[in-house]
Amino acid sequence: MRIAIRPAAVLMTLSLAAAALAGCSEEAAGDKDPAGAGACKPADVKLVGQVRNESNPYEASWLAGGDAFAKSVGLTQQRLTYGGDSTKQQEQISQLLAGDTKCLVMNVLPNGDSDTAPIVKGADKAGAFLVTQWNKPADLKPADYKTWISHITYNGVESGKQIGDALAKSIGGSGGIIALQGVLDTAAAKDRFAGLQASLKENAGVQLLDQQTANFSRAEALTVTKTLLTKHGDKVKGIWAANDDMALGALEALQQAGKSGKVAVVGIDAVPDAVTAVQNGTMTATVSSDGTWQGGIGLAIGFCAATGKLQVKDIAADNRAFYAEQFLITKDNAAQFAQPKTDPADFDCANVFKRVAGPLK
Amino acid sequence: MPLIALVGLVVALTVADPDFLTLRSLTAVSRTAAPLIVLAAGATLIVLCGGIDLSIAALASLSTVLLALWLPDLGGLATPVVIAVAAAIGAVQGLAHVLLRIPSFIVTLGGMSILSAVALVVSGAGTVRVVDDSTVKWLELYVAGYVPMSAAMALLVVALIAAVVKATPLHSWISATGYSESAARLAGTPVDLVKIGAFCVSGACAGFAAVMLVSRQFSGGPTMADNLLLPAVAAIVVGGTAITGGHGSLWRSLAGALVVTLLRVGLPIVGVPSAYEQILYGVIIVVAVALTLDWSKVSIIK
Repeated sequence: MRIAIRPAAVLMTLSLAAAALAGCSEEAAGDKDPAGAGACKPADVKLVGQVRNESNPYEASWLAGGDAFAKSVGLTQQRLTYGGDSTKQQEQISQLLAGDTKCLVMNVLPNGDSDTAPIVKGADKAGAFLVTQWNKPADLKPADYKTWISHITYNGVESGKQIGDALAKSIGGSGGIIALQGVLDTAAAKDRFAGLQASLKENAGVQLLDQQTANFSRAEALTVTKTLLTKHGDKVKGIWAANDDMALGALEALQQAGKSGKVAVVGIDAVPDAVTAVQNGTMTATVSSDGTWQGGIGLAIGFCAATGKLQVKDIAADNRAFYAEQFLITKDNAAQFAQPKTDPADFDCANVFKRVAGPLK
Repeated sequence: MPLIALVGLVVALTVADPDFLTLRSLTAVSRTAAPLIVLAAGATLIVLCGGIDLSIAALASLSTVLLALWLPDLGGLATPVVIAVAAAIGAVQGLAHVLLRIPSFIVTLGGMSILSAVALVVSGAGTVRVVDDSTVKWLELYVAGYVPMSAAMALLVVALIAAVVKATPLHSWISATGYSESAARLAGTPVDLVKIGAFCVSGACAGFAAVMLVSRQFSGGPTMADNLLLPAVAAIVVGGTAITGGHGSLWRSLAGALVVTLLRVGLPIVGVPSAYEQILYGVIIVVAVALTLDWSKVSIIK
C-alpha cells in the first residue's frame, strides 16, 4: 500500500487537532456545579459504601452497618467491593463520580494511603460528599476540601497500651511476656508496639522477654510462638499480639504445647473467632473499632451534610480528621460484641461526632 | 463482531440502570479503559505472532514505580525515558525467546516474576507518591471538553501501530508467523526480527499504560497494574483475535478492552452484588468470545 501525502488534508487535520487541543479542559464538559451544601431532599441522597471485600468478617460488618443506617433513613446503600485492588477501586470511584453526584454520599475505605488522594480529588471536583477511614497520607487534610467531610481512624498507640495493660492485669502485674509484632513498616504495627512499650513503662513488674514479627499472620504467629515458648519455657506468662490473627495463632501454639489456659493472650481487631475466645476465657482481651458503626457513621455524616442538617464549614477542625473511640473487649463485655449491632441514636446528626476520641495529629 | 458484543453490553447495562447511558458515564468508561487498551494493543501483536506476553502487567507496574521515582529529577523527560526502558525490557524478553528458543509463555512468565520482584525492591515494597504531577497531568485533560486525553492517546497508539502494520510488509509477516512459523521461515520472512519487534512494542505499550496510571493515581506502586494482566488477555480474546495467532487485529482488541472495562466497572455500578459479579463476568466473557470468534479463520483450538 502506498501512502500519498495530501498537503490540504494534512493541514486540515493539523488545524482540527489544534482547535481540539485549544479546547482542552481540566474537566469533562457538562459537569455540574459542586453541590451546594444542604440542597438535597433526604429521598434524593444516594448512599455508597466501599470496602475491599465482603468475605472478611470485619468489612462485612461495615457494610451491614451501612445498610442499617440506610434503612433507618428509608434509603438503600449501594455496596461496592474492589477485592483489595487499588486500580479497581479507582475505576469504580471514577465511574460512580461520572453519574449523578449532586446528592452522592460515599463512605470509603481506601486500599492504602496513596489511594486516598485520587479519590479525594475526584470527589471534590464532582462535589460528592466523602468520608474516608483508616488510610490517608499525613499531608492530605479534609479541612482543605469542601466536600471531604471527615477522615476517621484509630489510635494504635492507645489500643496497644489498652491490651498491654489488660495483659499486665491478668498476669497479676508481674512476670515475663512475649510480643508478636505486625508487618514492621506499617503504621499500625509501629503504633501498637509503641503502645505496648508505654504500657510496660507503667507496669514495671512486667518484663518483655522477647519480641518478634509474625507479619500479622496466623500461620507465622504459630511458628514464632512455638519457638519462643521453647526458648523461654515457663517464664512466659503472657503473649501480646498486634492483631487477633496472630493472637489466634499463638493460642494454637499454646494448645500444642499443652499450655492452653495457662498463658494470657491479647490481640486487636475483635475478629469473631477472637471475641468467641475472649467469651470462653481462652483469650484475655481484644480491641474493637466497631465495624458496624464505621459503616454507618460515614454515611450518616455525609447524609447530614447533604441534607443541610450539618454545615461542613461549621464542623470543628478537630472533627474533620479524628481518632474514633475504640473498645476494650474482656470477658465481662464480650457477649455484647459477639452480635454486632448498631444504635440508631449514634447516627443522629447531633451525635455523629460523639465518638471522637481526639484530633488526628 | 466485537462491536455487537460492545453495543449489546451497553444496552444491557442501560436496561439495568437507565442512568448508566449518559455522556459523562461513557466518558468515564473510555478514560478508565485507556491503560487497558494500550496494554492489550501491544500484547495483541505478540498474540498475532502466535506467542503470549504474560509480563505486560508486571512491566507496567515496574514502570509506574520508575516513573514516580524519576519524575522529581527528570521532569518531563521521565515519560519518554520510562517508555524507552520498558521497550528495552520487552526487547530483551523477545531476544531471550528467539535466541534461547524458549516458549514465549515461559520467558514472559519468568519475566513477570522477575519484574514484580524488581519493582518491589526498587520501590522499597511501598507506594511511591508523586507530589508534583505537572508533567504527566496533561493525560488528565479533556480534548475539546469531552474526550479524555488518555482515551484519545490510547486511540492514537492503536491507530498508529495499526497504520504502520498495514502500510508495511509487517502485516503479512506477522500473520504468516502466527499461522505457521516454519512456513513463514521457508518463505523468507524475518520471523525472529518480527517477534523481537513485537515484544519491544508490547514493552513500550506497557510503559505508556504506566504513565496513564500514574497520571490518574498520583502515585506509582509495585503491584499497581498487576491485576490488569487477565483483563488485557481477555480483551484480546474477546476482540476476536485468535489466541493461536495469525488472525485478528488491534482494532478488535480496542473493542475487546472496552467490553472488559464495561464489565469491570459497569456491573458493580449498576448494582450487581459482588458474588454474582464474578459469575456474570465469566459467563459474559465466554459468550462474547463465542460471538466474536471467526470460526472460518480459526481451525485449531488450543
